[in-house]
Amino acid sequence: LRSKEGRSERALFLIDKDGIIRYIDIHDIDDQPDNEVLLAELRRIDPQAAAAATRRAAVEAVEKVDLPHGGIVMYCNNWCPACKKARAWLGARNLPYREVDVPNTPGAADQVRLWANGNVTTPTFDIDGTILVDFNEQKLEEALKQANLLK
Amino acid sequence: MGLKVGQKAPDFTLPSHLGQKVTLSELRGHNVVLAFFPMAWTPV
Repeated sequence: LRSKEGRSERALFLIDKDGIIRYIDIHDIDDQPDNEVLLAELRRIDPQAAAAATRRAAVEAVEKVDLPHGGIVMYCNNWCPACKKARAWLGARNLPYREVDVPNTPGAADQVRLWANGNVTTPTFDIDGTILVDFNEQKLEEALKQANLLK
Repeated sequence: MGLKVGQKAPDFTLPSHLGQKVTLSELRGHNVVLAFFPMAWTPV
């Protein structure tokens, strides 16, 4: 690992799952590239694995956040029309519920994205662990009955 | 050796910086980052 001038060098290779060389970088030992350069190459080589890693990171981030669980938890915001309808629907049935104000609660948007296929859909309900994306009276009623929260 | 991007990587077994042997073909099915570098205090 010596250049023609006699300096020490470092050689970096990326080899994909099939054993094919995808990236070669040989440089002076003092010119270590940023890890981000290699990570970007890896994402390019294996977008699927990169997406899975991003998802794993999101799951870990959400696990660290203290979001309410149990009973009816509604992920919403203060303007969405469907949230207003859902509040009225729950109120008309005297059902106790907790709201998570998504834009103002750290980690809430990430949590909804994991449940709602990458979208921050409001309202999203966590009913004793059963997730319902969007307000659908029929589905909400079913889920509440299943959870013994509605007769 | 004249390796180029797109070629099949030749198999090898070499000592890692932790002193264990690394065989490339045993890592097939994974994406592999290889860094060859001179260890500190060695005359490589």
